[in-house]
Amino acid sequence: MQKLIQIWGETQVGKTTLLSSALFAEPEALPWIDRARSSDILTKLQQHWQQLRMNQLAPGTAEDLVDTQLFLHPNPADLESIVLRDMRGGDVRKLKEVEIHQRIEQADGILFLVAWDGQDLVRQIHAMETVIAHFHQPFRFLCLHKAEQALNPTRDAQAWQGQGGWWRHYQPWKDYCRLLERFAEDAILPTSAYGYDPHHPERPACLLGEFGNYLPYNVQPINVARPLAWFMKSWTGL
Amino acid sequence: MSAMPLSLLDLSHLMTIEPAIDFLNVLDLRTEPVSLLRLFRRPCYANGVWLQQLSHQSEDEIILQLEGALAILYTDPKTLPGWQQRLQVYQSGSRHWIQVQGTSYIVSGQALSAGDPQQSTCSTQLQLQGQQEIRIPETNLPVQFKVQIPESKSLRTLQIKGYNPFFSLPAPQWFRLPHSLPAGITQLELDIQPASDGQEHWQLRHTATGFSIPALTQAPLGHKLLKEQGRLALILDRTCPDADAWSAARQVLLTPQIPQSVLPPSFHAQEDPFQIGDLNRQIRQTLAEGLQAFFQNHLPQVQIELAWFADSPQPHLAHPGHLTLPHKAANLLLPQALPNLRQSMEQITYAPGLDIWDPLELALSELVDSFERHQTWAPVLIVGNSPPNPPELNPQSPFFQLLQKTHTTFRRPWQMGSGRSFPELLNKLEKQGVPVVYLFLYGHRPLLKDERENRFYQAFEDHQREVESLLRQYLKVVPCAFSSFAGTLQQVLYELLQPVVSAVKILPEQVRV
Repeated sequence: MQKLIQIWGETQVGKTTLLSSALFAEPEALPWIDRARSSDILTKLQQHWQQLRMNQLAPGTAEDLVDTQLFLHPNPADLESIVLRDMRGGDVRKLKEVEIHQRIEQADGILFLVAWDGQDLVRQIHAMETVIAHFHQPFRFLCLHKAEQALNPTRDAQAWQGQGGWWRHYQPWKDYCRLLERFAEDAILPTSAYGYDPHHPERPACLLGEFGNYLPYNVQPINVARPLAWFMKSWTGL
Repeated sequence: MSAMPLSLLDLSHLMTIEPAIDFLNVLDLRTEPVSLLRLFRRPCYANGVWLQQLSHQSEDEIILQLEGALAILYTDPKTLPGWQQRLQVYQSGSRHWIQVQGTSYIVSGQALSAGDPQQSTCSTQLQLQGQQEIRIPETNLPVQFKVQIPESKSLRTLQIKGYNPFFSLPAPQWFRLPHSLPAGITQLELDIQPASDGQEHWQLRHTATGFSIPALTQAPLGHKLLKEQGRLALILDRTCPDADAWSAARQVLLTPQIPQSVLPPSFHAQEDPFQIGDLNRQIRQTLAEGLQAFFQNHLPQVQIELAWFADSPQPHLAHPGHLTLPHKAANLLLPQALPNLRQSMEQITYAPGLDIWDPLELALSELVDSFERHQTWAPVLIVGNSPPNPPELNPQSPFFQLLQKTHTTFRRPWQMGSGRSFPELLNKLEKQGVPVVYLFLYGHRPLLKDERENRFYQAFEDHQREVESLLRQYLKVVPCAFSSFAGTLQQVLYELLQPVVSAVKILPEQVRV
């Protein structure tokens, strides 16, 4: 048996970065992945993670669909593999409703990513609403990503832990409570592929780039593996 | 009020009447030195301190209550005959009263034609000239502002200029901050005060002590460093691309294959293969031609000390594998005579910038080391658009504001191998009376016409404005669009040729009313 997770997020939101850091920053957090069987498939994401570790930006996803199949160790649910389906970020805005329907029809779960400092938040939220309207399964998880840009490592410790309803205390999420309430309490999490600079723990681990971009710098991802662990637990109890 | 007129006033020289009088100057002889009180036709004009003793009875009547003797000071001879009928001084017991009646009062300066007194508030425009010029467009006096006093005793001068559409302000005035004030940041207060000659003067005080800063009777002469030394130091930021090379410069970080669509139009026709180093070709050419044209006319024997800075390979900021970065982060070339300049500048090609912070302090450090070794100092002109590496994670550092605003961190300064920080180097130069000017280039244009490119460009431009504003807190910055690069360069060189008169830094963020 196989489960398909559709990753859903705007361009530049950090979908591939989240996946690569989830799989390689804390391998012990996802012990059910049979890495020996998955190694060939993981190569691309591993390269992405290596670039991040070397403080380099990796290029965005250019292909329409990128599937990463994670083979699993034997488990009580007889789940053999999980497929993570990455997508080109720009498609979030281009897809017609029929296409959205077709794409999510195949999915067993959806992992949404919305950036905390994201451009065009209203449009992203609208796209998410449209998807949720078509997707009737309960397995959806929301990453409020790049949270290092908005949260403090110590002051916002409870939020980082993902304590139930944590997002209600933060703008802009509390303005979208009707939408966010459609996720399970434990299925909304602040995530960060960069984390904080180990030398200056109050500062996000990124540099201001020469051309208005952001560069990773001594990244220490936070909460990146938890979304995949949530799906796994939902499906297998592990 | 029952009082008898007191003939303290000699009004015999008054000749004409002026309608719509704005204010009346009254000289108070009780004080030593005598002080000037300015009475307005209506209350609540600016500079309220002068109005405190004015009681306003009606639109047409103003009564001033003072103790002791009074005299009227007329600074404008074109005042009214028949004034005596409207202005009277009374004595009641030990008190003297001055009463002004009628719809028109005395003129001492410009008439206030605007009826709304509020219009004359915040109408003073100030220009403070130290090492750099700061304009304060709309304010009321007194104004407090912070300055950084240099170590150099001879360069502690400051010029005040002002304009007000409603009132005459004193003529521009130079001040010299006294030796007794220690070098460093301090607060000054600027106001206007009457003097015993009846004229008004700028008054500059040291806020902490109340000490009045002495005015200079003539503009300071300064010293002509560039002419005396026959040298100019030029630091070029190699990470600053030409105006239309911005998109290409951004792309080279991402891919070894640069799409033709992002290459500057001038590259389309050329036969030689595209070289990354050519992305600042226009800047180099404009600089070489501009320097040659200027100095051939003004100082043909000049020697140019060329220095540059760029991002170099760093263990903690790996650069994309397809790029070759300069092995050194900064370098100083041998002094160049004008005829060799163009050829020398061809070596200072474009080098890809990785993060916004660049080792400007290293190039400056190489220059200062050379100056110290040879005991010859020369004006420094920096051309580019990059800030130095932030010296430290200090909340007081202006650059920390940029880190805070952008939620970013920075590379460790010790990894950059910099001995002296940017502020320390500037202080060193300032002590020697060396002017340092940053010609800050603006006006890049993205060639790719897509939303993502525009978004990056917008973010880039916002950060550049921030960087320029932060640099202003350290040194004189001349913002310059590429379209006016050649002209601005000539202007900056001309200014560097002029005597250096001040190294007082005015902190623009610290002006308050």
